[in-house]
Amino acid sequence: MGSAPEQRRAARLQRAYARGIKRLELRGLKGRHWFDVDNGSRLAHDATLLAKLGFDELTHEMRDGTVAIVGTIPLVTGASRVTHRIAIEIRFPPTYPREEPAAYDITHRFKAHDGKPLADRHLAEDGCCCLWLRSRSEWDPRDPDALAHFLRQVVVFFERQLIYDVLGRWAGPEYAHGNEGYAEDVRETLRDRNMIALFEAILRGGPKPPRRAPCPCGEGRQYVSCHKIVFDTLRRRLPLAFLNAVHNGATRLVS
Amino acid sequence: MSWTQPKSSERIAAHLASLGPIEIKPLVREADLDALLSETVCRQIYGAHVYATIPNFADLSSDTTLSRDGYARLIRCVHCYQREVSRIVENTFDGVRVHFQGPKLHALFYRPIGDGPELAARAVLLQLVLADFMEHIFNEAFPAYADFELASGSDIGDVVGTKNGSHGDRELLFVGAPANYAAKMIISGARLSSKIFAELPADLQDRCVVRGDIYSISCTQAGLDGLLKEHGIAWSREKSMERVNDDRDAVTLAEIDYSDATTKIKFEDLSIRKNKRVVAASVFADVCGFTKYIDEAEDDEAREEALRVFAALRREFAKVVKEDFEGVRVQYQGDRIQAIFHLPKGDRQAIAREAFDAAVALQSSMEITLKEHLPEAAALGIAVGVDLGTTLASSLGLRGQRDRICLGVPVEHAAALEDAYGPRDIAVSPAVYDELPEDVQVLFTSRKDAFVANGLTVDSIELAQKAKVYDSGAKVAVASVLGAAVVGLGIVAAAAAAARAEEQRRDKPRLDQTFTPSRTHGGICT
Repeated sequence: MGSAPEQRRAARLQRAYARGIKRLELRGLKGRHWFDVDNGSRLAHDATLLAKLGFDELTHEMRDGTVAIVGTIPLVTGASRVTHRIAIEIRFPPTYPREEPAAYDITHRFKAHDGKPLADRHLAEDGCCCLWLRSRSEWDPRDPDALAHFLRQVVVFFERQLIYDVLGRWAGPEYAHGNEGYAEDVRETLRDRNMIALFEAILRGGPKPPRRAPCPCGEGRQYVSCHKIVFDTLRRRLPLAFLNAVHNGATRLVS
Repeated sequence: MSWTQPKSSERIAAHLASLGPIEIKPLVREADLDALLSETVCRQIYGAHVYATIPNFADLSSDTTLSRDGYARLIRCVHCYQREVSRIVENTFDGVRVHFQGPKLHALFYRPIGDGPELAARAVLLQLVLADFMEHIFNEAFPAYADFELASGSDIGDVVGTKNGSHGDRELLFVGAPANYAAKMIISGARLSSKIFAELPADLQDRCVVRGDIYSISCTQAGLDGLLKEHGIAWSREKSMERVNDDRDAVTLAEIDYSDATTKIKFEDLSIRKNKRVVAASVFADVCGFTKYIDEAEDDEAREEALRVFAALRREFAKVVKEDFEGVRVQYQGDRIQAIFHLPKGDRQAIAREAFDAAVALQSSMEITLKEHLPEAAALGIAVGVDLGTTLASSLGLRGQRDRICLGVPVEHAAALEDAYGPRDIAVSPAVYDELPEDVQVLFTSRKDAFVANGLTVDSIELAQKAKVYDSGAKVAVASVLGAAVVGLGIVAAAAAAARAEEQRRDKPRLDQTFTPSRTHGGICT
């Protein structure tokens, strides 16, 4: 049994969920949404998680066919105990929890700074927060508490936004914007210049090394049990748009 | 740094709750303003304001080459100047000596009520008399300072009169364009605004010369005597000289003591005989555009709202200086506050840091807490000027009317810096800048005569410091404290959070697990 606020929150969510499901039923959509397929158990778990984590000003909201977490994160930045209330919305994809949710600066509180584009602070024009490179996502679909880690990263992301307001630059490590960020990921994963060149050549339609031949990396193993695995993994996790850009020569991996 | 948002917010809320309704009525009959006015009893007063000062005075008070007698002589000189000038204003001209800011006098003429020409004439004649007094009496009585000259400015119009609300520490305050403009026009000689010129009788107007929209006036001794006679003002040079000589002879140089201070200066303990000479940082904080804000208030309600803001920020500023930091509030000067920081004794670096932190805290009170409680103040911002150096602190003047004074180049320079810069600016002199640590220095940009930082608050400094930890790629922990998320940074915070995380049960996810902040990307931002 949870605490009284947790129970109240769960009851509230249950009612909202029932209302939302009724609407879906009326529209013949019941049984098609992530929060519906498991009779709302993941949704209820996430709601309990919010309460346990102390996000008292965040709540699940059911809209027509979708669920979002809305509200504010009160963020205390230091010893002066200045509290910044940041209005956010977390939207869930239809494939949740297999795919990660997205956080939004819903009031567009953080704006382009000093003539630099909004992307410089890792925000899209619609307020979507780019927490990480998609190919390096920290979202673990198998973890039932994945939302907790996501929210931790959201808190840190917004604190870094507050720092950006002060310094006019992003604090901490970041990937380059757009496809160049993915190119950085490839370079960091493969490290060896020859292997990066080989991967680029394959993506551009060049010949692949024979499966049973020694791997060009020189480790001594066969290609099929060495870098072919690495290349395949990379291809799976990199977005199609990026792979196309490399294929067309619009993005280069070897500088 | 001991400013915190909850503390500041509580103070402002408590003060606003205790303030009660503010009453602003026009002043329709003569009254003792000192007894009448209070924080909530305010009056709209039509009057002529005069500011007069000795521009070349500050250099002397910071002169470190002066002998002990040299300093004593200087203190006695200011003492005698303030006493006689007060007598001239109040006894000869029936004006109100509002206060002295060092050698700068602020005087008000408001009676006979609503009589513009009479008030204007008295104000301008006071300017002429003070110039004559300086040249023919004061410089003669104090031959060591024979080059002192008097500069003055005057304006006329409506101001709001009020009083600060601390027990036993009350000062008359006048807020409005005439009180402000008269102070700002001082350069040299006697200068007056076009408004006061328009009110002047013809005999005084004839003696004015105009340049732009500022008039200046001067006359010979004989001419002044004639004007005083014509306007029924009985001022005698001989008697004035006699009083100055008596004041001077009443205190011998040996009796005037000055020393450094190891504990916080208490102005109420200072006098002509007991003074302090300290290494101090002077801080001036002024609400930019407040005069315009109150002048443009369209009705009584808007004016009352403006005064409510004024009362709250005045009290809060004093609390920041006195309670959050080791500072001493010297004076309220209209919408400006003057403070000094002089501890630890002689430690320039610590004093500069304390003054800087206080300046940032003042900005924080204005930008964060005051605006949270009084959203109508959103358009206002404060400018802060800070300088560091040898400063003379005393409490001088006539008995019962003593003014807290701080004398020295840093005092004048800090005031000038505050005046030169705008809302949300903190302007520090090179002397202060040099004493600040490097991580603070980077927050400033170099300007002509100062280093200026805009938009600094306690919070923004903390955030700037956190940037370093993020840049290092260190692990962090997010904790939920009293319903708010706090990001703990660095090894200590991360280790403590890791220990807590160890204790947690597997089915009890907590926010304070340590983790590496994500390496962000602009992939979806392009």
